[in-house]
Amino acid sequence: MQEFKPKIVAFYCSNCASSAAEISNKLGLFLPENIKLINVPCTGRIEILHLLKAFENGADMVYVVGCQEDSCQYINGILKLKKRVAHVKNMLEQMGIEPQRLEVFSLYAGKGQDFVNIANEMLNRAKQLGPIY
Amino acid sequence: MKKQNPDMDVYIINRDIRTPGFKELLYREAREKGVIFIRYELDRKPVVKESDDGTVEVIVFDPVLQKDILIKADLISLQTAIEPVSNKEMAEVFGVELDEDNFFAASPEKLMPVDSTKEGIFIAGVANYPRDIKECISQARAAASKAISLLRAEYLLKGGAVAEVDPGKCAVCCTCVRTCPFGIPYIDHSRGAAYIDPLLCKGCGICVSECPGKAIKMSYCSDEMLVQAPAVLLKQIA
Amino acid sequence: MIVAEAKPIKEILEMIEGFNKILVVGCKGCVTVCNVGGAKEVAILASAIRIAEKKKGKEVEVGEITLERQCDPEYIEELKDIIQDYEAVVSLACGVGPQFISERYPEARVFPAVNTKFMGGAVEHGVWAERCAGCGQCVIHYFGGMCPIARCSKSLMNGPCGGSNHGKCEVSPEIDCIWDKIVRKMMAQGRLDELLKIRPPKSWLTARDGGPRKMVREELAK
Repeated sequence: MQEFKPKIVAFYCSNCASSAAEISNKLGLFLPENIKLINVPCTGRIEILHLLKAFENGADMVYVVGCQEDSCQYINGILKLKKRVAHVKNMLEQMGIEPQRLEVFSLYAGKGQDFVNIANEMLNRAKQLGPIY
Repeated sequence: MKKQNPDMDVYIINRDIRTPGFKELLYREAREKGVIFIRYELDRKPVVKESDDGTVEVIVFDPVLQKDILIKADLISLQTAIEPVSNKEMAEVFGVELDEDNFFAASPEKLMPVDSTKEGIFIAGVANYPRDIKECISQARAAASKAISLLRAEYLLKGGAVAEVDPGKCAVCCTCVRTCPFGIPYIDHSRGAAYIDPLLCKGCGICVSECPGKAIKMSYCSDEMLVQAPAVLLKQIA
Repeated sequence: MIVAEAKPIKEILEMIEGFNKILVVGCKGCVTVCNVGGAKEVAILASAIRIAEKKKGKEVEVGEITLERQCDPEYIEELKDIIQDYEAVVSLACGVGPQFISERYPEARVFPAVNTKFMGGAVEHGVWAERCAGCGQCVIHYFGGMCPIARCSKSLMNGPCGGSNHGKCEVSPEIDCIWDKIVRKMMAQGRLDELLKIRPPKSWLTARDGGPRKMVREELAK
C-alpha cells in the first residue's frame, strides 16, 4: 500500500522565519517536497480566509512560522496571527475537522535547525491524522 | 582619582554594577588600585549626615563585614538616576514612540540602533537610554552619517512593496488608522478615504489583513496570491 | 451603528443541513464595519461551509455576493437573477437584511448568520459598546450627555439605585454604573442641582414596547 503523503502548506515571514530558513539551507537541511512554503512579509498579513482556503484546496496540514512575540519586526503581527489561528482552530472543531491540523510557531532568527524540526513535527502529525477528507 | 593621588580613599557605594563591553577591565583596575566598593540594600540605605565639625558623614551597612561603616567624606558625588521628563511632548510632535521607560524607542527593525520608530528621525545617546559619553559620541556620529546619506542621495528607492488604499472602497472606518503598528495611515478628508504614504509604509500588510472592506491592496502579497498559490502548489504534490 | 455578532459556525451548519446550493449574502453597511458580515466574512463563511460539507463527503455549491446594503429595496433587487439558482440563502446582515430578502423573495428559504445586538460605537479597536436603545424620545441632555435608558441596567430616570457599587453595576462588575458617571460629571460641571429635578416615569410608547414602529416623512414620501 502506498504510504500516505500529506499535503502541507507552510506560511513563513520574511524576517525571523526567513532567516532561520536560510540558515537551515546553509546547514544542508531542506524540507520535503510535500511541504509547500509561502512567504509573507509579516505573519500578520495572513488572514482567517487564507488559512481556510488552504484546507478547502486540499491541504492536510497548515502551519505558520513567525517571529517571537517580543521581537516581531512589525511589532504585533505575530500576536494578531496567533489570535486568528486560535479562532480558526475553534471553527475547525465546529466544522468536524481536527484543530490540530493548524498550528503556529514562533522561532528565533538564528535557529535553522528549529525550522526543520518544526517541519518534521508537522509532517509526523499530518501522517498520524491522515488525509483531511 | 586614585591615579592622581594613590593615598586618597575612594569609596563607591552602589546597588548593582553592570560592566558592558570592556568596562569589566576598568572595574578590575579600580579594585586593584584600592577603590572600595560597598553594595547597599534598598531596605538599609546609606545615610548622609552633616557632622558637628561641618564635614559630611556617610553611614552605610557593609554586607560583607555585616557592620555599619562610618565614612568621613571630604567630597560626595551623587550619581542620580537619569529619568526622562518631557519626552512625551516631543514624541508627539515628531510622531515617534517611547519605550516602556519613556525614553525614545529605537526602531523595532533589527540592527538599526540609531533609528527611531519613524523613518528619517534619528536618536542618539541618552535619548535612547542612559549610557556613557563614549557611546553617546559614537551614536551621534552614526545618526549624523545616516542623516547625511539620506540628504545626499540623488534619489531614494521607495514604494513597491507597500499598501495602497482604494478610495472608492474605503468606508472610512478608521480600522487601518488604529491597527497600523507604525501609525502611518490617516484619514485624508480631501480624498474621503484613508491615506497611506508610500514613502513611509513598511510593507507589513497588517492593514491589508485588517481592513473590513478589503479596500487596501498590496500587490506584493495579494489576497489572490495567498489563496491561489497554495492551491496551485498543492496540486503539484503527486 | 448597528452592532452584530457572528453566530457560531456550528449553528449555521445545522441551519443549512440538507441544502446543496447555498447563497451567502453580505452587506457593506454596519456589519462590514464591525467585521461580521462584509465581503471578507462572506468568503470565510462560504469556505467554511464547503470544507465542512466536503468532510461529510458532500459537494455543495456555495455562491458569494455582497450587497451595498440590505436595507434598501434597490439592492435586494440585485439578487433577482441569481436567487432562484439556490436552495438556501444565508444573510450576514443585521436583522433587517434577511427580512427584506424574505419579503422580496417569498419562496426563498432565508437564514440569519449573525445575531444583531445593539446600537453602539467602537470604544477601541475590536470592542463595541451599547449606547442607544432606540427609545424614541432622546433626553441625554438631562443626564450630562449620557443615556441611562441604554446604559443603566434598570433604565432608571432618577438613579442611582442602591446597587451602585464603586462605579460598577450590581448586575455585573464588568458593567459601569452609568449613574455614577452621570453624577460625577454633573458635579464636575457644577450642575448637580439639575439632577434634583425628578424626571417622570418614561413613556415607553415611543419605544419598541409601544409596538413595531414606522417613520413617515411627509415632506419626502410621495
